[in-house]
Amino acid sequence: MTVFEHFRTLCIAKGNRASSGVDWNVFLERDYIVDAAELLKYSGFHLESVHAIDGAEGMLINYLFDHFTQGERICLRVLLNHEDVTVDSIAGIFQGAEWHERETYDFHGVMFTNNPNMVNLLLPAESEVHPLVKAPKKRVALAELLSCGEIESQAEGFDLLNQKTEEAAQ
Amino acid sequence: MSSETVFQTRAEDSIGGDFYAQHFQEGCEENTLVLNMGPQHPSTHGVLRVILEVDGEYILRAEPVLGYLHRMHEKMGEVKSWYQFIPNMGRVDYGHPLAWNWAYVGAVEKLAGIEVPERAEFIRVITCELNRLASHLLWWGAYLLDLGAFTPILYAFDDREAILDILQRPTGSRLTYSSFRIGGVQTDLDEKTVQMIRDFIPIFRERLPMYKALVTDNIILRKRVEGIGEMSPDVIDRYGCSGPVARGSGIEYDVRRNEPYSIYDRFDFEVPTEDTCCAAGRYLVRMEEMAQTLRILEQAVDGLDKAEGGCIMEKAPKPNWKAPAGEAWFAVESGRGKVGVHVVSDGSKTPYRIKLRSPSYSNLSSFAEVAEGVLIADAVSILGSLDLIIPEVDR
Repeated sequence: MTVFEHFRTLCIAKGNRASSGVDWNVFLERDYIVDAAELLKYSGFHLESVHAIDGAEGMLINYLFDHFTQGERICLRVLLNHEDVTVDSIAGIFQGAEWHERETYDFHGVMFTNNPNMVNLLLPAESEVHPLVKAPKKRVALAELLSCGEIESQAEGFDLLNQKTEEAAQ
Repeated sequence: MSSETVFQTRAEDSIGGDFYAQHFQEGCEENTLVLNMGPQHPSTHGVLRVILEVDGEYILRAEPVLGYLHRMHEKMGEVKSWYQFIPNMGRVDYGHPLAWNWAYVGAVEKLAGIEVPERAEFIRVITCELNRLASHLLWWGAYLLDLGAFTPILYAFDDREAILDILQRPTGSRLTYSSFRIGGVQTDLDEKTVQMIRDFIPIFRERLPMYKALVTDNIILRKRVEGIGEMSPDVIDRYGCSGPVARGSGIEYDVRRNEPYSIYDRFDFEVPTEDTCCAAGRYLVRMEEMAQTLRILEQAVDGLDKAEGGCIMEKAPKPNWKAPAGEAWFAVESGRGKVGVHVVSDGSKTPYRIKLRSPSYSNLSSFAEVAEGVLIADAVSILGSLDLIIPEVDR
């Protein structure tokens, strides 16, 4: 993973395109998402999607990037605490993210600071309902939901995926 | 920024309009006019609304307003079973519903590690490519209608009718197809259908030069599309555009070629590109794609007889089937670009999360930047060249 070699990441996992469709899963701290997006912009990637998954540990924001010629799909993942679902917008780098972020606000209530036009996109303007936020009882641990693949590097104290790897080992 | 400050309505203000119109007017310059194009404008193909700030005939600023056809498919996915969600996929994009069918069942098959029989793959390719032709014909007729030419849509619907007659035999419907199943397709292609396709290919191939002579080479059309709506490769990258919009800007990217799914790696076809980056480029790419689609169809129909297996796998998932826990992302090439479906499962009968990535959505998001400084009439030309399907944008 040359792009993120000198970048501060929480975890890098090598996925399998044949089984999960994503080549690299990169977990980041919340404050590093804009820098990471900038890095990918200058490496020639384009944005595919921004969307959230509501899990037991928090709201996981997925940023999917693909490359037109190299054929490498990277998923940047940022875990947000349910108490404070706020993250910096990457719309300054990938302008297409503006709509994806507004949609994520509609569906999951995630606030993106510095998004140039942070109003509802698909739901009515006055809507305060976030239909895809799950009831706390129905949330499932992210380790069960995600298929991130083989972990290549991991920061100390990051144990979101460990439960899964132990299960796989057994 | 709290939501209260964002959504505060300003009833005491003298400026008119609803929330979005008022929000838009906050950034207006003096002596300009704010114009609502849509949601009932004929050239917005359904219910797209674009708020424009115009100075005379020129657009200073544009902002698409979405949500008039929003149906929350992603929420429906979380309350229906894996199987029950398939009909939704026939209704996201009425132009090319089989691509959405494929993206969804493909994602579920990837998640569960299901192998689809070879014959089913051939049937998927044949029906999906026929549907792509119907989609491009619909775009072609409607685009020219937007530009003021009435005749082409009659020709387009004549050919499209023949395709719908073929497709209704294996799929049972003419518009909102939902015939793909997890592990295969609903119905096999019978001999008569195959014969109909064999008869159709040469007839349609002869029509393409006529379309070129009638429309593509026509000076009136060329004046409306050449040099209009320039999108550089950088714009494509920043907005994540795909499909003919990206190929019209010289980016040789087609999911069928760059990330081959199913049996597309077996077919010999070209990925047409144009370097002009304008509406004419996108137009020409789609016209050439129709010829390439015919090539794929021919090869697929020839290969169908030798294909092994049935139209659906043995012991295919039943309606109460439980998918294994995990996640999968699957992308296919639709008439408009890259359709992506991200399925997340907790191992139960219903999906935990379904994300639908629609190509029209990303393509349209570039409109505000592309339309800056163009004539209002050219904005119509740009919107049409993006080939928008509004239910797909709003989902």
